[in-house]
Amino acid sequence: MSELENAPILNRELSWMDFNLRVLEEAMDRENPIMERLRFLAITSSNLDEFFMVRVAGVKAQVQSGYTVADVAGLTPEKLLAKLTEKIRAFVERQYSCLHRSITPVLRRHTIAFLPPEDWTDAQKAYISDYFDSVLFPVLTPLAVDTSRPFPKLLNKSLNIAVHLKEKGGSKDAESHFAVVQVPSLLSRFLEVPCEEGRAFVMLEDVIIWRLPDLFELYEIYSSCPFRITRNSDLEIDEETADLMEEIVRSIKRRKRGRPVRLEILQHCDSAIKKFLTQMLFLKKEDIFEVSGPIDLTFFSKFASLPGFSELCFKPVRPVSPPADFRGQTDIFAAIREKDRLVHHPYESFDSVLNFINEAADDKDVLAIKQTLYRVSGHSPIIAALIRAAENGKQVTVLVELKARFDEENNILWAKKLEEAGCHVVYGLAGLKTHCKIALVVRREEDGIRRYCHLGTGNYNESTARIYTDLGLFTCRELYGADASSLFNVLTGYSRPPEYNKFVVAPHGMRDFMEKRILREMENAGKGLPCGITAKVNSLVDTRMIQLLYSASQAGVPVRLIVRGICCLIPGITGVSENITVISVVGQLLEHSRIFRFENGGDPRWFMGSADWMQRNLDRRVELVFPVEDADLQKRVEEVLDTLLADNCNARIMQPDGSYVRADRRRKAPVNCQRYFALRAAEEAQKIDKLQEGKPVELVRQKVEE
Amino acid sequence: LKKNGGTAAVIDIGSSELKMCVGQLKKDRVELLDTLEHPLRLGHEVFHDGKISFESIRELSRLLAGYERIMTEYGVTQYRVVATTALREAENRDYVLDQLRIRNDMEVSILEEEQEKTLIYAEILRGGWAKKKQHTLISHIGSGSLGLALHDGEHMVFSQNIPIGPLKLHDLLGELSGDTKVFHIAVEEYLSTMIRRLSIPRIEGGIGNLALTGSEVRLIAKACGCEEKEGVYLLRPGALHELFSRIQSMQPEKIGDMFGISEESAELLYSALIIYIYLARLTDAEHIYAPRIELWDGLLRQQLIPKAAVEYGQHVAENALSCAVMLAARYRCGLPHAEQVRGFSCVLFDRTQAIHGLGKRYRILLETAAVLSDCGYFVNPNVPAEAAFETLKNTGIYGLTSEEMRMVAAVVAFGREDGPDRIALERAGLDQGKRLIVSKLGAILRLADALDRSQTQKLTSIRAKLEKDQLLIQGESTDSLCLERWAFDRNLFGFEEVFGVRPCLKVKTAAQASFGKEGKAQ
Repeated sequence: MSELENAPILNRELSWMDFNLRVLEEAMDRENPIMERLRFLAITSSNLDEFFMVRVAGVKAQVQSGYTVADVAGLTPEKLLAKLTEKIRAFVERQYSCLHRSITPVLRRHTIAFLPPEDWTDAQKAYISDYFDSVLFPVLTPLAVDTSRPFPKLLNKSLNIAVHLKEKGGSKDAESHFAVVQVPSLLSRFLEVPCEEGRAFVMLEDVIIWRLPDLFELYEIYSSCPFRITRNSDLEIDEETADLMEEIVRSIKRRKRGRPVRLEILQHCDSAIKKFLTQMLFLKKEDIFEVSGPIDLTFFSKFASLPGFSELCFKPVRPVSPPADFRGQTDIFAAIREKDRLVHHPYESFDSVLNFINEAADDKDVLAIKQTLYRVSGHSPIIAALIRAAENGKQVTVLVELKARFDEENNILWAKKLEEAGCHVVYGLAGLKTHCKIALVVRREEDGIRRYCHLGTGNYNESTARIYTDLGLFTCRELYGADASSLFNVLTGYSRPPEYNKFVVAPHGMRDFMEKRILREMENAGKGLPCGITAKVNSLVDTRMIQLLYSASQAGVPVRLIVRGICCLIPGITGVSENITVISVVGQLLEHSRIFRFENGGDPRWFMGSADWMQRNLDRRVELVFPVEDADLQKRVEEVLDTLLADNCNARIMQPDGSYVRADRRRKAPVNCQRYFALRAAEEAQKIDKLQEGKPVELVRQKVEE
Repeated sequence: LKKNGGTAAVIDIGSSELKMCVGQLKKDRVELLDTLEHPLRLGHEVFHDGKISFESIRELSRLLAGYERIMTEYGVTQYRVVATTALREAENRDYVLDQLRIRNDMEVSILEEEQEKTLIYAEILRGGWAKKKQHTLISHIGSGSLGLALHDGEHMVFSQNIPIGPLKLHDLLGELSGDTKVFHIAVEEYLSTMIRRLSIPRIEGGIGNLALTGSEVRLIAKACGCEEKEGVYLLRPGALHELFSRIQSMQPEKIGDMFGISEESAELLYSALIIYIYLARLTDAEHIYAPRIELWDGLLRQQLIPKAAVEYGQHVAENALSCAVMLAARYRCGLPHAEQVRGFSCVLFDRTQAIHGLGKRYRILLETAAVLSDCGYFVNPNVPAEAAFETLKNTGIYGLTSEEMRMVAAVVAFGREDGPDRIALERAGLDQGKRLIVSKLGAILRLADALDRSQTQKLTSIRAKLEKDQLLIQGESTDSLCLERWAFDRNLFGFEEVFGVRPCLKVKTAAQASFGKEGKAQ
């Protein structure tokens, strides 16, 4: 592998930008419904916010601290920041170009318009004025800035309006005054106003600017401009502290006031305002992003969900409920005892997972429930079931990962509720985020204790389970149960990591396992045995893994990678990676499952789990990868991988220069993997229903193709 | 017998780890449901400062609370908490036990070394790791103690413990551990001085088999490239040497990196490896069996399968006796006499159950005492009772606790006419209850010994029967029983004083037997 130490590896930040660009392509794709295009645009915007808060902030901190060591891609922090800034500026330009040149005309065709103040009719003005007086005005707090009143501590990502004021009746050269008005985040960013045809909307900041004179009666409004700051939001947590929860609460407060790393203002902003903000926020020229507006496109996500727009959205994926594997089963435990069960979300309903926990909560024979929670929804039915289980006298142990980025506050809230209900709540291991997705139910049965496990690739979050594609395995195989118990014993701090029977658990064994598997494929290639690696991950960043995959390619191992997000490996380079292909599937649903297949000399092995191929997943998190051993389920997982690889609608193929191109569809039938999975889920369910009714099976897929 | 259901747990408070296993009975077999291991520093503290710190007690208590929670999760209804070397040797053990009782509502039994090792050896024998028709050296290496036992293919014939284990060794010689060149020499020399003093029986043809257990054995086996097959690692002695050569000059940090273990574990691995190599040298074994056996295996089975506890009792009885016989031979006791006295003791014990009220465990002590009753003559024929008492009270016999050995010593001494009086018996450090038991067993042993006082086994067998206020002992003999009758008469009062029953001996001589008359010994 030594000769590959200098093999080309992409920088992860730049690669991430390429991923966001692929999402933006979806916003630009005229084949997508218009509201979905707006939604994709909103996603690129919120993605970029997070990117600034964590990654760009990190690079800036490196530059400021004088760190000059180049990364594996050969970029020093300074060089990277320059490249990144250039790439982000081009990206933002494309975002707004997409909005104004591509999306807005289509909206207009659908008689949907965002009206600037100059286009407001008298009737609309009256309506807006009324809204301002009754709703908006009471919640506005103009904050003047002068020598006695310092610049306000503006919240991260909040939208504000900077106002340049001059005293009324003063000369043109009179002293300038500045004030800041926060656009209330509790109110909707847009306001629907009456119109003669179609639907018309105005932006909240435009309404405020229009009525600024009412807020500054003693001043003349010289100019005004909306702006938004993004702050460094990576939490610095002292995990050695006695009370982790308290420490996280403290650091969340710190995050809200982190150092600004980006200022977004409108183009053609008054130079005095620009100077005022730059000075007040201690920003440099390269931190300022001037956009054509509106600032912060994330609101389009809510906008696209407004009533009346459903015709302009994707046909929703209706999760099949109950999924084929649980069709006709009345006792979930009996069903799992009969055989392993697999569910594919969101094509198959997440209710099966909820039922599992719900039934466990109420089943008189269940003694204990243990579960990891990384990100849960606002009103999580999982949490409700766990609380009920504790109230029913079950021993409930919940591992809440308090450090799940940007979900910390939510998780603290749930952790407290669970504790109050009598659950044993633990916060994981110091220095390691618990990212594995596992639920364990201990049940006393006639022949003794039996353990039921749900092992997943996605979070226990029924909201995201509607838009993230994930797989979940239900099993009561003894060795899986023993491993699950051992894993929880480690997570609760009662035992050191054991030798697992089936599980592969990071950080102690995951890297070693993956490396050994790849090396075995290389050995098999050398012996002329069947070999090959197929992996579906969200990100491929880890340098050692990349170098090993390059070695595998050189050893003649075909490597097929499905990497939705960051991919620092470059495929197709002669002498380095010509046996590697990389595709990225970006579509209606967020590809989230992690699947691994190793050909293993003709005896293929399948694994699924929570781990990506990033250093953090392999070395700094508790991750779980588990084998799929049931022959039927192996076929299903194989079909999932094959379908993803055959996709020519959502897939982009990574090129040797690091760019991505869409799969060639010429003279080929379109294959949309996500649509196929939805149809397949429905078809399998129907098949079982028909069989149960004793009727002949009619294939849904055939029907659709007809 | 209950075939399924029922869960039990064993918690083992060791010197360097707290362990727990939860098991259930399924289809007549014990199935492990869960095992937990958490590192502790109890051994370090005790071996260094003599005491367990309150920080460690609090940590132990916190972990035990968690373990109790896990037991509830499995519906465990019966469990045992046992502790070994560290707690056994801690000066403040009573305080520790008290705190655990108050904080966790847990009663901790401190296992004596012999109990701990016997539980493990019994499992090794149960697993068939001691070969038939071959001598097997069995060793369990705990963090703070090393147990050695010798099996002759049928029974245990030797058992001894020495208070040294990898952790203790490391802590004792810790100052030298920085210099890897001399550390192994120092450890080996120290070990040699300890083991050389052990009186392992010399075996003609050598010891052909070696079975090792202990907390480091798995790691060492793996480091030697061994794979576990059906619960056992099969190691070549040469592989131990090869491993030692590899790590001999390495600092613990590097050893840790090499095998993916902590520096602390690496230090123990080093010390353990030296012990293993030393033990391998004591045998001619071509292979070393390292079965995966834990202290909890036997304890768990005994809780889940009532029959297992009985079987374990039988195992201890048989093997304690075989070790006692071997010891008696080394003290040049007349074995036919020893066997005769043992047999008579058993008959008397069994037939006087109604008046002594003692359980089977005390029968084992009586048998052991009977076999060793003459060993004092070897040590000092002038004061055999005193010599036997002093020798045996510090001797280890397979399966017997040190208190039990003190009782055996006292029974042997009290079982002689010239034995010490009761005041002298107090030196055995036995409480009043135990002294009473010694008196009972001693009274029986005196009578049994009297029945073969000539050591010529004139009485072939005896029968005994309690009748109102007397114990009727009947036997047959073709020889003159003058000496036996004399000795019997001298011990009547002692027996009567203890039990309130007067023994009566009736022996049929050959002539009487043919005419249907009985001789009367009174």
